[in-house]
Amino acid sequence: MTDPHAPDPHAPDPHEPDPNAPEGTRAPSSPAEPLAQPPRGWSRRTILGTALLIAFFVAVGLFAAWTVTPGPDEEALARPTDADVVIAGGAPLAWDPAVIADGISAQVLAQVYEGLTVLDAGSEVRPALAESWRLEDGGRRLVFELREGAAFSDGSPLTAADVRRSWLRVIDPSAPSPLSSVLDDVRGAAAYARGEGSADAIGLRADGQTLTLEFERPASFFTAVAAVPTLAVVPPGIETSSRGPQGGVEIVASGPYVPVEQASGRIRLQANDRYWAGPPAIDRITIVTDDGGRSSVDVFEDGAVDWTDISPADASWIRYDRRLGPQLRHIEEMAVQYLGFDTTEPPFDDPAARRAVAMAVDWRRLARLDGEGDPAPTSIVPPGISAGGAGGAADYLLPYDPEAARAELAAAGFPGGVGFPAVPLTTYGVGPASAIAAELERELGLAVTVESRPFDEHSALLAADTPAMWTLSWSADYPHANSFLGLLLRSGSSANMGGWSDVEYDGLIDAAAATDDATAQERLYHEAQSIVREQAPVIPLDYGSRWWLSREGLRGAQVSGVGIQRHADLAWADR
Amino acid sequence: MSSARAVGLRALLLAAALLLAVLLPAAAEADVVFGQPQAEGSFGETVAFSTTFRTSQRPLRVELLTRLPGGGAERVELAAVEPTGAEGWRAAVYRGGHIVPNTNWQFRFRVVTEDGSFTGPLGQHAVRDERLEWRVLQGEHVNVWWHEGGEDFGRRALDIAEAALTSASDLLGVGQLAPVDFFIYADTREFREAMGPATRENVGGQAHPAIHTLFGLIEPRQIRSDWIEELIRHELAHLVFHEAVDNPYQYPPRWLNEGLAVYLSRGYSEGDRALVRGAAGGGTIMPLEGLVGNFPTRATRSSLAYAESVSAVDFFVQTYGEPRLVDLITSFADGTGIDEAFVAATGDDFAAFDAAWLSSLGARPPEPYGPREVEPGPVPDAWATNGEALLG
Repeated sequence: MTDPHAPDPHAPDPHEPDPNAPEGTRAPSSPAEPLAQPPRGWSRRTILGTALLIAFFVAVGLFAAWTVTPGPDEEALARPTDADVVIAGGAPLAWDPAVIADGISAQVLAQVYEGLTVLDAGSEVRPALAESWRLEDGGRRLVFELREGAAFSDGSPLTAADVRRSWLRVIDPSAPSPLSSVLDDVRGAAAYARGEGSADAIGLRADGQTLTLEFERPASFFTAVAAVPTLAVVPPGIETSSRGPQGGVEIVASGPYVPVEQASGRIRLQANDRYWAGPPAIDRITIVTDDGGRSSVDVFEDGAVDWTDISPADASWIRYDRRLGPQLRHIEEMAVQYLGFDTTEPPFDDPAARRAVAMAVDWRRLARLDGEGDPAPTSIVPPGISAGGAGGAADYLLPYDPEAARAELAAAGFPGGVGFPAVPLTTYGVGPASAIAAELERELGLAVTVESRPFDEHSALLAADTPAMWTLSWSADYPHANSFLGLLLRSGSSANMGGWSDVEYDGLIDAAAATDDATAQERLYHEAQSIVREQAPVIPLDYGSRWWLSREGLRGAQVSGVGIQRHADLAWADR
Repeated sequence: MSSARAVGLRALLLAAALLLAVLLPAAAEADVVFGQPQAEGSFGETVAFSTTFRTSQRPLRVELLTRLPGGGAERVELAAVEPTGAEGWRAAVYRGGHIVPNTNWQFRFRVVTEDGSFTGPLGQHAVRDERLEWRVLQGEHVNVWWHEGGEDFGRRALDIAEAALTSASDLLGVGQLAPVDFFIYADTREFREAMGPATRENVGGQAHPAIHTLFGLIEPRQIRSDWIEELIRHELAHLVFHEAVDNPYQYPPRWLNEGLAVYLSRGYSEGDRALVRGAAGGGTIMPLEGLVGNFPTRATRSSLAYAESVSAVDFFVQTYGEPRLVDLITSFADGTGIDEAFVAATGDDFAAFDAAWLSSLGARPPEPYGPREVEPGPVPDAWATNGEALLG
């Protein structure tokens, strides 16, 4: 799914400050740095020794106490008194798993709606609403057995028919999910989503607590797909509550928490007593979705929240801070930020034009300048996921070669850049977009403007009217190469924003997904990624990295590799 | 020739020119004809951007494009659109939240139809802080705005600012700068409201290079103090630093930016030396590696971060000389990485400089306190084994 977490939305990437930075949070390394004010009556001549230094600190404290008058935003940040754990997060764009495709929405909805399986903190597949499963027919059939007595939060029974109904909503041809392609391996599902065929023809049968899936090809990894938040089980009539727990609307949950209120920048969650694993250890959780523009570190330090994402720019000093350092956490996410092209329209329908861009920019250097010491991205598949030598073992990025880039541009019909249309590079405030534009102008003579949109508008634009060139962060929906190579690049996939299509590539991806032979699978993915290298429908820019603060004593505060913090894992060590 | 006839002819020519002005954009931009874009709203208010336009096609979407004087990416937002009659439309964007005073946008609207996208004329809007009655003195490079104190105060501030800007620009080799607006607030609450809700309690000034604007807090009792000089020099140093290193690739480490600003505004003061000595001796010193991004926000740790920064700059100057410091800073303008920049300026990388600075203080390189692993939480009993294994 798209990943606005990369980087922290509270802190724009240093590469790409918010173009209107003075309006909001300044870029971490922006020169718009404040000068500390001296205490009242201070002058440099008055501070001459240790005794006066002590007076200085006392005065600073007095000054601060004198100047700070709590405003509305400060009052709003008081820790909720009716919460056992307070988490700084975002509000979902919709309260319907079949509608959303972004990481922030998924983070919230994953607490409310459960799948047949879930990924634990270590990104391992675990049974959830399904008690067990078995693969049959050489991996072409998967049978899930749901838990006897499984129920929604209102006590109504939860059966395999509910799973089928939930999944058919995802591929509803009148309004398919942006992530409908997670079901492409199910026989007839992709055709149904396109408006071809009937629901009865789909390899998805429900019988009591048994759900049987028939696949187009062997799909042994589908137990991980079943954990994708998009495929969570929702109650009948969810359409009436898709705006969330507001105005008296009650939400019926299948997951560990029931949202009971969304108001004033707060979402309140209450433990679901009917959760299949029993009520979670933390009874009441509040998600703070509006911190009044304050620093997330300050909010944490104030005690207003127990868990918050922070920017890498804050992590650098917090590492050495005696109080906050021990509460600092980090994970390398299964996420990639990439540059994509609209491969269906000129000029980037020509692979030569894409290769020109790929070779004109020194992507490895841009990654080094990022300053975080992350590995240079050489594959659309991030490290930690086996995909034919990804993760640094193989290089699927064309070499930096401006001369060759100019030759490719000429081959595409634009010698010296003459005649190349004006194309904006569309982004959402993160990533090295301005640097890319500068490199393209310098090496190829292309005039590329950078347009930055709010994330939700950027996502909607990619789906509705794909721009010529854009950036996006993509987080694994499930820990498998297919979550990148299949969902992002296979022909016809709902997440294939650029519309790239290559028959040979599709064949390799399908064959890799179908085989249980790890060596053969690696070879097939290697061949597939080699095609991506030569065709350059996408260019990896950066891999995902997540920093957060969680209160000491708060157990289970881990984020999984796919970017989900499972609130049901939380517990206070001393309570 | 009668004057009446001459006026009539000029009127006719003017009318023809206006008609052309209307017709030419219409011809060049197919079937979308824009009205003049409007923007309203001062500091503390929602800013409303709007335009009218005519088109025979239903617009697929209408967008507002805004840009700041400092350049960078163009911000694009969807506009709300409503019909105003036959082929007539009105589009508007309402931008709320905190907006720093003197934010000055160039803006325009873009209409996307089945035939393509059509961009309207440019508008301009500045967000003024109208809560106060500002006086202004314009200098060669700086405009000083203040609302408390007499003409002599404004003149003094302007003289300091002009001299500081020239001095810093000469040092870093920065050429002609766009005019800088310097707003001096006299009231803590109004200043803090202007800077935004995330502003720390002990902040006395801010530089916003993207809008060529500096802000300072100088209370009436401080009008004759040294604080004015320090504040103005510090914030102008940031602005000049920004001009000297501006590049699309990366930003230099923050300790270098802050360290230079403190160095040029008050030097490595005894107070800062005492802070750094205390931290080095007490084991609370942060390596420069920890000060490349954001600074701590709490007053005590923030003060230490500033003191360490000027300490490091002073150490650099003492060790390598001021010309090498200038070389180091200006090399970032080419997109040079931090290690490359340090190797070029000192012969060794950033880590070596960090270690040498710590060593000069008698401090051992501190060990990081984090990140740390999360203690596992409770998991369902059913996860003792997975589902597939259960079925054998």
